Order: sequence, then structure tokens, then C-alpha cells
Amino acid sequence: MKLSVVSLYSFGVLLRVISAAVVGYLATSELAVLCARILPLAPLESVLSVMLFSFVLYAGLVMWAFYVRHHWRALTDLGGLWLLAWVFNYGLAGGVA
Amino acid sequence: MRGSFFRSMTWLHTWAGLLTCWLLFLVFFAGTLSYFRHEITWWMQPKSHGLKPVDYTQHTAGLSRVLNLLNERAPDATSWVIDLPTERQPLLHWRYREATQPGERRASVVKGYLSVDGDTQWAALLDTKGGEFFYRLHFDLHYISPMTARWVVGAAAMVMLVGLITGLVIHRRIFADFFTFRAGKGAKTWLDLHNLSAVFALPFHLMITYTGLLTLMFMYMPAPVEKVYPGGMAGFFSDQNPTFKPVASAGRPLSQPVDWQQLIGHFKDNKELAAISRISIDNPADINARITLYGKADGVIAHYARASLYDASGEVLGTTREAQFYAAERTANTMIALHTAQFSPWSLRWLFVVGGILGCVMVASGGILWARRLVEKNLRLGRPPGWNLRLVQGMNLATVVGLPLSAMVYLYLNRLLPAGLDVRAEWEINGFFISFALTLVLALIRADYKSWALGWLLVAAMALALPMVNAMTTNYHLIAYLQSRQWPLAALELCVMLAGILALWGAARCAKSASSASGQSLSQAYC
Repeated sequence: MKLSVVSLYSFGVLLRVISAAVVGYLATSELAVLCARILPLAPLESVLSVMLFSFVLYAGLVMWAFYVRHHWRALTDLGGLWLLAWVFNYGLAGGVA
Repeated sequence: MRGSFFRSMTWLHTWAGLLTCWLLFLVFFAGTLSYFRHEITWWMQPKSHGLKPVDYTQHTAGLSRVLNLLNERAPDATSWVIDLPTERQPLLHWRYREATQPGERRASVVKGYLSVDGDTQWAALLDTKGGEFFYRLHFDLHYISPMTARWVVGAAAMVMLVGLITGLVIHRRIFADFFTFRAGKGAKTWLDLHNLSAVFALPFHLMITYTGLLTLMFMYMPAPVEKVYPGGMAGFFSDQNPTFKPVASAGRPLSQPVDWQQLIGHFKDNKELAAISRISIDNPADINARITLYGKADGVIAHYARASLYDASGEVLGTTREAQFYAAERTANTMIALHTAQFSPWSLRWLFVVGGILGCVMVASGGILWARRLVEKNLRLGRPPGWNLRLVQGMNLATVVGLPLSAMVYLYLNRLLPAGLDVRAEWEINGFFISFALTLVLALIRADYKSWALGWLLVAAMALALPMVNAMTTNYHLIAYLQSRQWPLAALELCVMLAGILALWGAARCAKSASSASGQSLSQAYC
């Protein structure tokens, strides 16, 4: 079945919205955890620092999801970032992330 | 998307903004009123208006009286909380939580207040949420669970942050637009107003949006604390603020009374404070009584109060760490304090209010701009307005006029509902939402210039008549407030009247647009 132009466009927007809101949040959260782990600061300071910064990062990722030329890139870029951060976290936490 | 960075960001700005603008207007509107929540609460407790102005740092008499009162009335309560008077709010508020009865999910809370001189008068509170309603409304909404509401408002705040950043990057002539206002040019006028209100208070908009997210960051971004901090969320909070140490009652009565003078003196010296702001006591009559004293330092932009936890003998069990704060803690402390503006003297508070009003204008003009552009496009193409345009026009009218109107209804109901009415506070709030719902229905039926004019006229009439209603339903009036130097009470009524005059001007403008549009095509009658 071939998708018409309008519904392909709608699908693209939907994909970007989900990528931005959900995958973008997961990537931000996972990256924040990673940064909190590797920052050479006291635990209290490192977790609070990354939380303060996370909202700006999330805003940036949302904008990225709507900037990339093809809508699948929104999912692959943010999903890839999430996966990458998750793998690092998994490794750093000794396999219990 | 859409080929270029500029075009994709414009698309994102427009659609994300349109979908959230009405909720954001509500948040900005109620948030701006929250800057005066203590003043609104005071105004909504008319029985307390006869109090003479007092030195709020001298609370010894009132404090000992309220402690005696709580001792008599509620020795078995699980906790007492006493909020001491401040410059903005001359009443000593107290409340206690009764022991949970079998079959009850949550223990009931009893509240009251005492005038600060303590000896002459004290009265039960009128059942009203006062200014707290607007404060809660701006992040807890109403009728839905606060947690759901906070996620919804948080998502809208994230959209707002994205909207501000995208608005900045698509904006190519920031400096020139500072001086650009083309009046009477339809969509161009709304665009200029949108730009002006955004650029003029840009630091405020960025600050208030970002810090708003930070106030609930432990809810919105909990993963770093939960996954990295030793002991998770509970460990973090007890390390960050060592005054949270709950203890169960021992079941044995306290033998020696607490030496309050010594306790308060010790706390004020230790924390370098001029006055304390709150006392909270867990297990008040038990040997395991735990007393927390709070105070806010003058001239410091800080959100976290200074606090110490004492046992009944005056031993310090824990104290806040403001002297040992890490840089990140100091930053968070300052940021959240900037959001709530609790620190700010009244002059600076007004600057925050101006920022909040410009935020309302920015959000509202964005929504109206979208509708106006479509109106002009329809005119060019000779198309009738579609359902989407009707919906946006209706929502614009319902929020921009409906919310101030509902706020007026809320203040009126405070004076007009009988004092003994069951769940009175809830009916004041129901009145607010009934008024809003009615406006919404009418606005969805018809949202032309005539409806806008009518709406503004109603707001103006209610606002200008408020001092009269107050004079007729209480023993006090505007002139009496001025004579007795109760500035917050007088200022509230004067500000409402000023808003009424502005609404009157708005009504006149909309009526003029309506009459100049008559005889022309139908679309011209809509903004």
C-alpha cells in the first residue's frame, strides 16, 4: 500500500514529535546519568549540576528532532544517542545499569 | 525539516507555540498573580482588616499566646505549624494535624490565625484559599491530580523554553524590532506586539521558564539522583538538608516545657537571622518532640530557608548547610529563589510583575497573530473561515478575557458567599471555573470584535465596582485602608481598578474595530 503525500507528511511530524518528546527525554536522562557518573565532583554536586543543565540539553535535542532533513533521522539520531549513553552507563556501573 | 534551519525552527516555533499558548497563558496569568498571593490572601480575610500595623519582628506576645492555645486545644496533635507575621502579611497563622482516626486515610488539619499583638483579638479563618489558589493553579491546575498537572505544566514549560530559543534563532533583527511598532496593520501589529513583549522582557522570560522547570527538577529529571547518588532520593535529601529526621512519638508525655526564648535566641544567633519565619513541632506533647525553626535572611536571594532541628531539651539534631553549599547548590538555590521572588522587596517585585504581564502579552499575541494571519489569508483567497480558525479564535478570547473575568468572579464570591457555607473555599473556586467555562462556550460560538468588546466591558465593570462591593459587604473600605496605612489592601483595590480602566480601553478599541468592520466582509470582524 502506498502512502499518500499528506499522510506521509503527517507521519513524519508524528515521528518527530515522538522522537523529540519521548526519545529525546530518555536520551537526556541517560546522558545526565552518564555525566553525573563521570564528572570529577562530589556526588551531591555532580548530580545537581547535571540536573540543572539537563533542561537546556533536552531543549537542544527537541530542536534537533525538528531540524534534521529526514524524519527518520530524528529517531535514529536521538535513539542512537540514548543507546550510546546507555551502553556507557552499563559499562561504568559494572553491568547493572 | 522544511529545507533549512530557519524554516524548520519557524515551523516548530509556530506549531508548538500554538498548541500550548492557552495553557501557558493560564500559567503566566496565575503565576503573575502569585507574586501577590499573601496580599490577595489578606484581602480575602476581611475579618482581619481592622488590625493595626505592628512591628512584625516583635512577635513574642503572639507566639506565647498561640503556643498556649495549641497546648489547650491540640495536645494530642501529631504536629503543629506556626507561621509568623511578615512585612507583607500581618497575621500569625497556625495549624495542627490531628492524630489519624481509625478508618481515616489522612488526618484532618485545623487552621486559624491570630493578630500579631496577640492580646486583643483572634478569630477563625474564613474558609477561603485566598491567593494560594492562584499559586496552586499555576502548576497544580485544579480538578485533576497535582502530579498529573505538574507533568502537563512541565511539558508546556519545556515547549515554552523551546519556543523562546527557536523564537530567538528565527529572529533576525532583534535590535531593530525593539523600536518597531506598526499600529493598525492587522497581523503586522500583532507580530510587532509579540516581538516587543518577547524582546523587552527576554531575560525574564528565559529565567522564569528555566527556573520554573528547576523548581520541580527532582520530579522531572530524577534519574541522576536515583541512579548515581548513594542512597537515592532519600539519601540525597537527608544529606542535602539534615533537618529531615522523622521520629515516632514515644507515648510518654513531655515532663518539662520547652524553653522557647532560649531556643529561638540560640537559632537566631547561630544562623545570623533577625527574625524567625516558621516553627514546626512534631509530637508536640511527647518526650520525642521535634522542633524545627525556620528563618529567611534579609537581602539574600535564597530559596531554601535556614533551619535547625531541635529536640525538646534544646539539643541541635541537624541544621541546614548553607555555609557549606556546593556551587551547584548555591546556583539551584538562587535560581529557584528568582522564580518565586520571595526574597524581593515590593519595588523589585513590581519589576517581576511587569515581566509576568509581558509574558501574558507575548503568549496571547502569539495566539492572536496565528489567527489573524489565517484571517488575512482567507480574505485574500476569498475562503470562508474553517473550524480550526474558529477554535483558535474562541480559545484566544476565552483565555485572554475569560481568565481575568473569572479572577474577578473569584474575588466577588469571596465577599458574596455566606460565611458558613459548606465547602465554601471550593465554591469560590468552582465559581472561577464556571465563569471560565461559560466564557469558553460563548467564545466558541462567537469570537468577533463585538464579543471581545463585551468581554472587556464586563471585566472593567466588575473591576471598577470591586471597592464598592468590598465597602458594602465588610466594615472596611479603600479610604479606610489608606488612612490606616494598610498599603497592601489599598494597593490591591487600586490595582484592580487600574486593570479595570485598561479593560475599558480595550473594550473601546475592540468596539471601534467592530464598527469599522461592519459593512465589510465577515472575516474583517475578527481579530
